[in-house]
Formats: sequence, structure tokens, C-alpha cells
Amino acid sequence: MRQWFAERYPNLKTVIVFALVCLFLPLAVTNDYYVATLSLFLINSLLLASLMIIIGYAGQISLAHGAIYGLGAYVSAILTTRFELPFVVGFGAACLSGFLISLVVGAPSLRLKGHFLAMATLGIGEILYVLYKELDWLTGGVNGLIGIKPASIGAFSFTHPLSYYYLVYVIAMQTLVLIAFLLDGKLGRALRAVKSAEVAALALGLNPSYYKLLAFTFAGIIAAAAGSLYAHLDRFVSPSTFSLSLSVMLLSMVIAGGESSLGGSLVAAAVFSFLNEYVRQFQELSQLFFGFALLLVVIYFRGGLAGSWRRLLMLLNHARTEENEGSGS
Amino acid sequence: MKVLEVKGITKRFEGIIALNEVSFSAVSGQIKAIIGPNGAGKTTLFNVISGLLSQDRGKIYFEGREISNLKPFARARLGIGRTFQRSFIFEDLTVFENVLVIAENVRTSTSGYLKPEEVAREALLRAGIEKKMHLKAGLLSTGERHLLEIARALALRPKLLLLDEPAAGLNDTETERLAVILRRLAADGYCVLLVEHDMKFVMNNADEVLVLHRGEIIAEGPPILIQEDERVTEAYLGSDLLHAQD
Repeated sequence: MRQWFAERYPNLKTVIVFALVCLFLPLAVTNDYYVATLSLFLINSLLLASLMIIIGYAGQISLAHGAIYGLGAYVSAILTTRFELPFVVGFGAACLSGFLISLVVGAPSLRLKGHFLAMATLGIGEILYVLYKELDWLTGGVNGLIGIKPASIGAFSFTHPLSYYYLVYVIAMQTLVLIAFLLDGKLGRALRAVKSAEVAALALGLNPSYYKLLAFTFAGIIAAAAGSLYAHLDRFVSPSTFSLSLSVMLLSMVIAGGESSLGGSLVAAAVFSFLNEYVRQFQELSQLFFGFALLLVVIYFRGGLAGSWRRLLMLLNHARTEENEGSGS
Repeated sequence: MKVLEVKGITKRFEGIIALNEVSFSAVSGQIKAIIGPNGAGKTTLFNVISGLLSQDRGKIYFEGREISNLKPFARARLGIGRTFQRSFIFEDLTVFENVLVIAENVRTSTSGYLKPEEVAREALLRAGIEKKMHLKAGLLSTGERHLLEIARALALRPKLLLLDEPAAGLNDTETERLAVILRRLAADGYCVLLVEHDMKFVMNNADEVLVLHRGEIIAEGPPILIQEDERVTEAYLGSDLLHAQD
């Protein structure tokens, strides 16, 4: 039964383990700053998992993901702070904005391939970035938006870092379960089929454009939702957070994690979040550190962290089988 | 019953005529082979029928309905399944998933109320590859890949099957197995259109043969007549190859 479940729902199995670990993670930290870092880790998990759908399953590339994340953050921040609308409305509007921008951008762009698609999404990311900077009256311009209200549902305000962590936890786990369920099911198979042999899929009744757009918009909604959660965590958003370097970093982390692996993306999110906090003290050198770490992963960990993990498991299985055969004879 | 009707199809590639006024029809329960030397336009014809290439002139009818301007996936959903000369299996999926992904995502008029898993199992059984269903598709041999492609096309529960060189790379036993599978499909009412270089296979199994030469049909009829056709002998095969079944 356990083996059947692991084979039939590999991504769901990963998410269940991840959810159990994350449920008790706050018990291991001692102050509010670390709890906030854990919240950021969950938000980054959503961000990387959603980009993994685009890269690993739809076989596409996006250099606009960081900017779409920013769109969700700004929409939620503006609606709750400037217009004093409830967090739920801001969060819902952020998701809607992610859907709409992905749909508008994805429909024409996804006809492009490889470098051209990368260029198109790069252009979209840059347009959004410029808008965040230039629409002073709305976004606060380069200075950003400060004083974003904490998330609240009804009368309950998630002002304490631990309560906010568990709000993010509930949203993140529901989203990850949905992602896992879809990827382990017929949508995931269709995406893998399209990625593996697009011409055959097309000639056998699958519409590649539809599946790619579905993946792109689904990922866009999740990225924008993550943006909304980020805005109410940091209570401050500025354009520099959502620049091209964030999109490039996300792309690199998904590849480093293992481009078709949800588990790899979650591990990459942990590395990204905690290491980022640690190396922050070294300022400019932190980028150098990340660059060097990525170089090592690309050179020495073929298939990313997930690929290396799979190879390690295979080696262990092989060694165990040989040992059993040895003791049997 | 007439399943496919191709009327005056012309296709050019930058001035080179790949297909010139090609017209023919195929009926259910029939195995029709399309033969011709390399570059005759056989695969181009398949690509035009399945919609992967658009024709410059002419029309295509499927069960009386014009499909000339439909997208490839829309044609597949009507009941046109195909395989490819170069293997295009979904390598990362298992054999079962390769077939299931079509059965569960593409509902054709013949899918009925069958569960996708049932359709997939039936397709694997018909193609004779059910024993490999749990294997990763990327690990299959050349022959097994051809059978998987057929199973995948059968998952559409199609009325028309376009098979592009299904016997290529098969040994004698596998070829004979393939012949049995195709004859059984025809007996069950499928219309099988076959592009094949193996003349022995064609002459032994096709009900009708259509010969393409430089994009034009130069002969069409039962294998026995094709073998005696002087235009075919002169243009393409050579008498030894033509009598491959003897």
C-alpha cells in the first residue's frame, strides 16, 4: 500500500513529509526573527514550486516570475493599505492579477520557444519593474510602500510572527497539495507528454498551447499569492526586491533543485531562504557566494539536488541488494 | 464505409512539389499501404492528413466531414490516430502512462462511458504490449516502441490509423507479430493506412497498395496488380523487390 501510494502520488508524498516537517519547525527556533524567516521560507517554497511547474513540467522558461510575484505583493499592499480593504480581498485580487497578467502575457508569448520566450518574458518582467518604479502615486516609486497592514481575517489580526507563520503554512500547504495532486494526475501526465514529444502529443489530441498556458497561468496565480503573503510579512515592498536578479535567482534555484522535482524545489527554497539570510551580512559578497554555489551544483550535481539524491538512493539500493545476495550465498 | 477521402492535395516546399494533385480514399476494415521511394511524399501525405502540415491545395474528408482546416489535435479527437517514422514516445512516462495520458485527456466520439484506465488497458492489449506496462517507456526496444506508438494511437479509439513505417527496425518474429496485430485491427473495422518500405510485409498484408512517385500517384490497386504494373516496376521497385512475397 505504502509503495503503491509512493509510486502513484510521488509529489503528494513529498508534500505530506514537507508539511509534517514545517508544522513543527517553529518549535526549533528561539526568536521572532527566525519565525519570520521560516514564513519567508514557505513563501519561497510556493514561488519555486510554481516556477518548477513552468520549467520542469511545461518545458518553458520565464524570466518574469519575480515581477509577477511583485505584482501580487503590490496589488495586495495597495488595496489593504491605500484603500483599506480587508486582507482577504487583497489576497484574492493578488491571485486574480497573477492570473490576468499570465493570461495576457502567456497567450502570445507561449508560441515562442527557447531564447525567444526567455526574451519575451524578460521584457514583461522589465515592464512591470519599471511600472513599480515609475507609478509613484500608486506604488511609492523607488522608495516603495511602507506601513503595509498586517494580515487579518475578521477581527483576528496576524500581528505575531508565529500566528502569521501558521496562516502562511495553511495557505502554502493547501496550495502545495493542489500542485502535487494536479502534477501526479492527468494534468501532470499531459504536461510531461507535451514536454517529452510535443509533435506526437499534438497529433494525438493534446493541445500543447492549452496545457502550456494552463501551467503558466496556474504558476502565475501562485506566484502572485506568494507575493501577497510576502507583502504582509515584511510590511514593506519596493521595486528592488522584484528586479530581474530575483527572476534569474529563482530560475537558477529551480534548476539547482532539479528542474522537474517538486521536492528539489522545496529543498532549494530552504537553501535559498536560510542561506540568503545568513550571507546577507556579507552584503555584495553574498551574490558572489550564491553564484559560486550554483556553479558547483551545475558542475557536480547533475540533475540538480533531486537528481543527485535519486542517484544516491539507487547506489544504496544496489549496495543493499549486493549485500543481501552476498549473505544469501 | 468510406472513412477517408483525399481530393487533389498539393503541397510545395519552397517551389519543390512534394505532393501533386493526390486523390484517393480508404474504407473501414481495410489495410491500405502507401509505398514509394525515399522522397516520394509518403510522410508528407501523412502529415497533411493528420494536420501537422497544411496543404496548398485540395481537400480532406473524414467520414464525409471536411477536416482540411482543422488543427491536428482536433482531427485526432475526431478519430484519427497516428504513429511516427521516428519514435516519438513519451520517454519519461511508463508504458501504461503513455497510453493513459491520451485516453484520459482526449475524449473522442467512440470513447463512450469507458474509464480511461480501461481504454488504456484495451489499447495495450490490442497492440500486444500489455506485459511491459509498468516499464519506463524510454527503456523499450525499437520493436516495442513501435507497438507502444500503435497502442497510444489506439487509446483514441480511432476509426483511421496512420502508421508510418511500423515495421522499421523489427526482426522477423516482431514483424510477423505486427502483421497479426494489423490484420486483427482491420478485421475489427479499423481503417489502417500504412507507409512501409518492407515490400514483403506490404504485399502480404495490405488489401490495397497506393504507389507514390515524386509526389504523384502512379498506381493504386490490390498488391497482385501492383506487382505486375510496369510503371511501378520501371519507376521504383525493380521486379525482384516486387515479388518479395514469393
